[in-house]
Formats: sequence, C-alpha cells, structure tokens
Amino acid sequence: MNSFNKILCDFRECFNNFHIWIIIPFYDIKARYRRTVIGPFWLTLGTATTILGMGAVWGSIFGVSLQEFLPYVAAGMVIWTFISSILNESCYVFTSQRSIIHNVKVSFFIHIMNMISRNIIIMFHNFFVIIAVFVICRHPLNLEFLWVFPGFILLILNSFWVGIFIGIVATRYRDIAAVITNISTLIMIATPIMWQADRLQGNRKIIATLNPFAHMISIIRDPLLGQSPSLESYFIIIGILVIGLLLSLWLYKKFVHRIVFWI
Amino acid sequence: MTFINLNNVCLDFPLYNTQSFSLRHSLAKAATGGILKKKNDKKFTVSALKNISFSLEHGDRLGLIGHNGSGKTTLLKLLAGIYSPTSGHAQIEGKVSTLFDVLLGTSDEMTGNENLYLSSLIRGKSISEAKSSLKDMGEFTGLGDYLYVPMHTYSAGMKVRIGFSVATEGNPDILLIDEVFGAGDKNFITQSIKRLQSLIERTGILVFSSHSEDLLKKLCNKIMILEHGEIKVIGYTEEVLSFYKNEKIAV
Repeated sequence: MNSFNKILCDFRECFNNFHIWIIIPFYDIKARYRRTVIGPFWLTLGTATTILGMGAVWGSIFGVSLQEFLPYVAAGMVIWTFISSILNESCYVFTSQRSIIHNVKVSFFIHIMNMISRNIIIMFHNFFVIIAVFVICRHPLNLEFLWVFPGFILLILNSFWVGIFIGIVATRYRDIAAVITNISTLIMIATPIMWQADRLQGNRKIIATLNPFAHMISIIRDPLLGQSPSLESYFIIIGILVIGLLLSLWLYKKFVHRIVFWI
Repeated sequence: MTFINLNNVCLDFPLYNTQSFSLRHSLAKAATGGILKKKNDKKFTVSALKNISFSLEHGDRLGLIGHNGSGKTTLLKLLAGIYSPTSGHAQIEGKVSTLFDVLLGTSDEMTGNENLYLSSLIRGKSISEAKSSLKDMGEFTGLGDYLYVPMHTYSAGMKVRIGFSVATEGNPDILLIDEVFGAGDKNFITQSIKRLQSLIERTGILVFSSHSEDLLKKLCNKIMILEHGEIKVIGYTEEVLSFYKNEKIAV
C-alpha cells in the first residue's frame, strides 16, 4: 500500500469510527471529575474567576468600563484556553496512548480527534461564562453572530493539523513539550486577549498584525462582540490552514510508521 | 477471504538512546558537522525479523516458539499491523483481534462497566455491539456489584478479569495471542481457557506464542520456531515438536 493510500485509509477509519472520539472524551472528563460535587463545572468556575479577575484588573489599568471590557476578555480567554490546551496536549497525543498504540491497530487520526473533541466539550462548558457575562453586561448580539460558526470550523481544522504536526515532532523530540509550555505563556502575553490591539503604538502594531493567534481569536471574538470579522484575518487563517495541513500530512506520510518506535 | 501472506519480510528496529531523543543532540550534530557525528552517532538498529516468509489460510492455527527476544512478539505486532515491515511484503486480510496486554485501554478512574464498554469500542465494536455484549462480558467477569465501582479499588486479578472478557469477545477472522495466562485465580483460569477455546473455534486463523508445549499441542496444527528473528523451522505440530526435542537433547 503506498503512502497516499495509507493517509486516505486512516482518514476513512477515523471518520467511520467517529463514535469512538465522541464517546471516549465524555468518559474522560467524567472520570476526571468523579466524586466532585459540581463536576466538570469546575472548569466553568475556574474560567469565570480568571476572567473576572483579569477584567477587573486590566479594565481599570486601561481605563475601560467593565461593561465593555468583560465581554471582550471573556470571549478571548475562552478561545485562548482552547488553543493553548491544543498546543500543550498535542505534545502527548501519541505518548499518552502508548498502551493502545502497542496493542491494536487504530488510525492515529483517532487519537488526534479524541484530544480535539475533549477540548471542544471543555469549551462548551466555558461558554456558560460567556453567556453569563453577556447577560450581566447586557451585551447585545446581532446577526454578525453567525460568523462564529465558520470561525469555529476553521479553529477545529487548524487544531487538527497542529495536533498531527506537534504530535509527531514532540514524540520524536521530547524537548518540544517543554518548549511549547514555555512559549504558550509568551503567546498569551503577545496576543490581544487581555488588551485591545488598537492600543499598540507605532511599529509595535505588528505584534498583533503578524500574530496568527490574534487573527484566529479575532475571527471568533469579533462576531460575538457584534462586529463582522475582518476579511484579512480570514485569508490569513485559511492560508495557514492550507499550508499547515499540507505540511503535517507530508510529515505524517513520511513518519507514520516510525511513531510506534518513538513512544 | 482470510489469509496471511508474508514475503521476505524484514523489520529493523531503531534503538534510541536518551541522547538521540533530545533536540539538543540533533542541533549539536548539525552545528558541528560530520566529524563528531561519526563518533557520537549512537543510533543502533536491531534487526528484529529477518527474511520471514510464510503463508496461513483459513483454519490454520500457528504456534510460535522461541527464546526471549527471538522475535515472537515483534512478529505478532507485525501481523497486527502495529509495525510495518522495513522491507518485504506483508499481506494480511481479515479482521484482526489481539490478546497482547489484557489491560489495554482500561482506566483506573472508571468503573468496571465503563471499562468494558470503552475497551470494546477501542477494539473496533460499534456502539450497539458493545452495549449488547456488555451484560455477557460483565457476567463472565463474575465481579457482580464491583462492576459499578472504579477500577482502582480492584486487585490485579480482578482487573485481568475485566481485560480478558473484553479481549475474548467478538468474532475476529485472525486472532493473535501473546501468552496472556498467569493472573487470576485457579477457577478463573479454567473458565478463561474454556472461553479462549471457544473464541479460537470461531476464528479463521490463530497465531499463538507460548512456552507451554501442552497448550501448543492442544491448540495448534502448525508450529514455527524463531531464532534471532529468523524462521528456524516451520511445519506441522508433531514434526516440529519432535525436532525441537531432538534439538534440545543434542544441545
């Protein structure tokens, strides 16, 4: 079987067995919060306290009213939490499945989808925070809101190639996991989540314009805040998706047979 | 159509020492050029399987004998599709089921029932198949109300019961077994052999690695002796076992 067929085969196996990566993540989360009183809503509560704290502190530093600033921080933080979990968990997406990989032949894409759908479930829990903040701040929604859905699809598709790419590289080189943990704090600081991009002065504007994470977050956050997402951001994110997907599938094709030796 | 056809299969196993696993090492290699690379490149490969050719068809029960490290487990994993050959061709047609590690896919945080359900999904069952066989599997474990308790409260033997009942459920075309016996109390062992035998009767092809001659005689019609990753002998059980005995006496 040639390598291209192998990728197609793995895709087919992954999508024919979609029930695996729908059901298992639910049990994962259930098991993680067993014997706690409010269960996975601890995630919601954790996000809520972070957002409230950050909103209060940074809102007053920037002199923005809470009513305007909280919805901004809430939307940005929930999306960032998802992105940062994907970046960090991708490093262990194969090594954590060692026992399965060594015992049955399962498409590696299933492990990636498991991780993504677990984080989607967590994001849905966090969405209650956004809803609560919007209600409390009386934040209006308009029809631009519908842009959220294509934004999400792009977020998930991008997570897919990032999962493959980081998954393979970080399984081969164990240092990558530590590198990514370090970098993700930096990314969070350099991305307009706690601050607004239009506050950057002069040359420093490139921090937001060249930052792919800023574009990824804004195409989902803008419609939530009642603005239409910028076309430029859409082009950049779709461009990254195409290049990333090609790159990671090439990597997958080249190394899929070696992954089992590395874990 | 169920068959296994291996043609001149070789498998080289890369061995990574901790150094070549780290990025620093690769960066250092790139920065310092060729000379150091020669001295420090500690990437070994072990040729785990060499020139393996054989074919099996529906009804064949193959037993694998060999010392530790002779390639039995590697061959089983290759047949399962977990390893792919470095060179040569491996054609495996049919639904494969493996009994390597009984605890595959189980999590200590989940209850016995949840583990039975999720492990069957990972082993390729559909939701309805997994749900309908749940009661059967649960009964076979004999764990009763313990099925509703997280697995970290179980003893080692109880965990094996969970793993074993999942692994031996279903109708595979090809069944690969790497010595799984040993845990569980006496009563469970006799029960499990019975269940295993009925599973073997249902399958098209069995490949079974064991050190127990009695079991091999009972279950297999063909036997292969592996030595240093190569096939030493392959043939019908009686012939090979007598050859094996003579060989032992000669040594």
